[in-house]
Amino acid sequence: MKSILDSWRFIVGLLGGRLMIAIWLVSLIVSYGVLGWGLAYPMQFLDTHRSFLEMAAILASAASFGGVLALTYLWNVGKRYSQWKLAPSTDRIAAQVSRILILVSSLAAIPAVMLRAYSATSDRVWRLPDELPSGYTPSSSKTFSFADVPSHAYAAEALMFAGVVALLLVAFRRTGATKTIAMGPVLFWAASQTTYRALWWLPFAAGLIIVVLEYVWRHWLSGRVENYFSQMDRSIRKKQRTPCLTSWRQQKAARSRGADDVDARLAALLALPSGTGVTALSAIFAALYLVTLPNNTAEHAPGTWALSFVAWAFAYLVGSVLARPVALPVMRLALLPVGHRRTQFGEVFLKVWWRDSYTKVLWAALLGFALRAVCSALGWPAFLQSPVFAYGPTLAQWILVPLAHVVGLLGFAGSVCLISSASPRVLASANALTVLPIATVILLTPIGLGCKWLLETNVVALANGNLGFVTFVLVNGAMLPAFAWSFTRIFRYQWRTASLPAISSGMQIWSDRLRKMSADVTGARS
Amino acid sequence: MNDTPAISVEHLSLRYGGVTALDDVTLNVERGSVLAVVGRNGAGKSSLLQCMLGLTVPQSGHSQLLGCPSLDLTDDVKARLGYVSQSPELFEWLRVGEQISLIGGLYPNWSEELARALCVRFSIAEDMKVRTLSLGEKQRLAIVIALAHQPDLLVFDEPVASLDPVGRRDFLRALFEHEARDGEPVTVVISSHLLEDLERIATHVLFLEKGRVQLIGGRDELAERVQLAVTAHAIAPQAGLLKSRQLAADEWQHVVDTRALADGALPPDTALRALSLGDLFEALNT
Amino acid sequence: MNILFVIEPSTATPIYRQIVDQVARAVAAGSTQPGDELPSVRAVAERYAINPMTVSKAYSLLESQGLVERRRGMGMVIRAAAPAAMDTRLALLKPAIDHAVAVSRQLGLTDEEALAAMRDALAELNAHDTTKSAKKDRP
Repeated sequence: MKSILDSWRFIVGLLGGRLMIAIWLVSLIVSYGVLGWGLAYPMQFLDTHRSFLEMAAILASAASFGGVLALTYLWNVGKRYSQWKLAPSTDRIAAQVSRILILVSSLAAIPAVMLRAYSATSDRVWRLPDELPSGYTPSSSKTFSFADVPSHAYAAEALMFAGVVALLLVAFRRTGATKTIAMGPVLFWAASQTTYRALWWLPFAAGLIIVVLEYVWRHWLSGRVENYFSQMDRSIRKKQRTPCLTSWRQQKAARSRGADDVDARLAALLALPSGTGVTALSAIFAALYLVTLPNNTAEHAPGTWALSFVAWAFAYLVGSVLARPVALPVMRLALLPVGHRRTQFGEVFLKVWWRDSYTKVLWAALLGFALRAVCSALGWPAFLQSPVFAYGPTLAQWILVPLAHVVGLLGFAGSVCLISSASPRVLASANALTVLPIATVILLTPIGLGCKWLLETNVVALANGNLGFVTFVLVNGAMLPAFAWSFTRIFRYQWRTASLPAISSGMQIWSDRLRKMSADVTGARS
Repeated sequence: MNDTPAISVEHLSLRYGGVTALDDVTLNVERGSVLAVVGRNGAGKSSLLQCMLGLTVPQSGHSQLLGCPSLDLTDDVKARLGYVSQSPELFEWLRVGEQISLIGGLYPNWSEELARALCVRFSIAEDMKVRTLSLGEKQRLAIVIALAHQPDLLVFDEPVASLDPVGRRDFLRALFEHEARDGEPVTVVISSHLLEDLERIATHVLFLEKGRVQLIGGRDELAERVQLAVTAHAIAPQAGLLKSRQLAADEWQHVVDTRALADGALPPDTALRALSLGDLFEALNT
Repeated sequence: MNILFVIEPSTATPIYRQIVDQVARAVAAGSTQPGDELPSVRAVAERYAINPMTVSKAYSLLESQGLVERRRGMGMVIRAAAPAAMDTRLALLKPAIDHAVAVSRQLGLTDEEALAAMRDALAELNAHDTTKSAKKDRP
């Protein structure tokens, strides 16, 4: 009996711990509750309670998709933990858990589909008649309830739901989903609305891309290349390759020997710690963000979007992705004869991380501007031309707004780098390093929004929509970095007595954790 | 210049997290010697080496490296220093060849041919990404980087823990192969658990226990001086009695320094046995 | 020069002393010729993966004992000298004898049994290697 309990505890731990289970249960209860409430009471036209139903739809969808992901994770747990394969009766337990997961997912799917159909229909009927999709009659009354949802709406939502579930199963069948990486698509699909017909294919396209990428990765980029090129081939090719970049870096480093040229030397050594893959991905992500920038339909108020908190929060989210700290070999750096003093050490981290971040932002800006121009010239794809994301024809909107965002991203990323590199005690703790990205965002967001509020209440000119982007630039480009810089001054004294080996081992543990997580994603055996 | 010891440590004390890592450690490492630092896990070997190099700031005490205070090493001293830490710290995003040449380019005495030769000798492929190397290969790479610029002073913290026996022999050989600058012999400080390796090369040995210096001296001198005595009764603690242990009801084992022990401290006809480094280590630490 | 040292680092005897003893034994036994060159310090250190300083310490000690001398351009060579006196050789043999005696005592053998075993061993050696026994002096 005891061993079964232990196995269950192990399963609960595998699937994310009791917290995750609690979140599931709560989502289930809440969505059923809201569903019952929606069935019982009709909504008014401009009722903000409608958003509760939408949130419940998202919760239920996430719970359902989460259950499916957990199932794929369970299928692949033997690959990750050899103790699982060797322990007795794990098959029986896995079967039991699978049944429970299927049950939970199905249970969550019911309110999910119903609530999604509800919110999709309610969105559609409350529009002007000539904007209605076919099959929907305009709502003459001011209330809406489940009775108004046509049956084909349920069918469409159920079909799309089933399609996403199938995609998840196919995409993660062989690698198994991981808790952190899989949450992205889950949340995306959970939250995606089918309100605009143009969007309905997006989740399937995304799923298809995942499957194709996985295939390409496995068969072309990782395994096969290693098999194809033998050691000998590699060394021959190496000799033939002109090492111009390497020798340039080396010469540059060798040439710059003065005490004030530490930056150049270190820059030569510490170029691109993130690797091309990560840089490319984050640049693409940020570029997409820049392409779909919120804008105002009115020509004369290019900064109205900056009045909304949501836009800022989203900008911060993107900025935090671009500013991920990377582990550095700190003891080795300390012993290099490059003229470093102990108190300057925090600056080394700052410089490397900052260089890493702004490289990504600049690539994103390049890509983003190019894409944005192409998309608006072509007038395609449709979802970028939707009413919320209209482009204005003016140069101000084409350039000023994206530029403001680039400056904002740079400022935010810089602030994250400043705060992250401030305290050696934080850098010495692997746990602190793991939560550092989230913690800095949580710290900086209210500060940024607070500064925004301060500026808007004290400088009248910034309160209207015209100069909203000026507020954005001022706060994120100047005030936030200044605040973050003060952190580095406050903690500077700690560097005098900092223990570099402690930082080194903390970073080592942290980067091992990251490597394990990414190995999970690509399905490599750890 | 030849008189100053390579490393000089005075009354070093280090505490962190409630643990005393080093307790009033004083020692001098002469130029050209090979000091083996020996002790159980947690005895303070890594902490001592890190304080010597200025990587950790001690609570009290002072340490000097080649005549320069450890906490403020000049570039000149750093250029003559080679360090291999317990876990190899490398720039994970570079390739092996790039790593060696970029780091080496910062040192005035770096020789590319030597670096290449060492790579071949330690069988490291130059175009592999450091990220993909195994732990043993990373350790060997760290050793190559430390040796490639022909340093005067080498500090190794468990450098061969992940190497196979052939790799370890190669490492020992490579230590003495190159001439240091000006023909001066290289000073080496090495901490390791593999005592068979240390016995081959050590000229001096330092035994650490719980952060304190238990025994320090020349290797050969210690072998002739420090011996194992077995008596029927306990002996009062005194100078020269390093450690006592009761094996059985009427059998006591003592590690004694025959030169420091007073005459008559041991009963006459007491059997004295010379000890190898491994036996000495065990006798001092159990 | 083909002295093959047997270096055992994990014993109580320091390495330099092992080298000195082995060279001394070889000289005393007459298996070296005067003028024979000892392998260079670097060669020995490289071969056995030991500290060159240990080897040079051993060589210096041999030089001070008069067994070898340093010759320009050649390194260390065995000194021309008569085969060692009996005392020296017996002194060199003593550690092995002491060890054998200790073992026989541990095994509980009597003196006569131990001596008989020794005689048998010598007879065996003589029977199998007449060339070598001709070189050895009679005990």
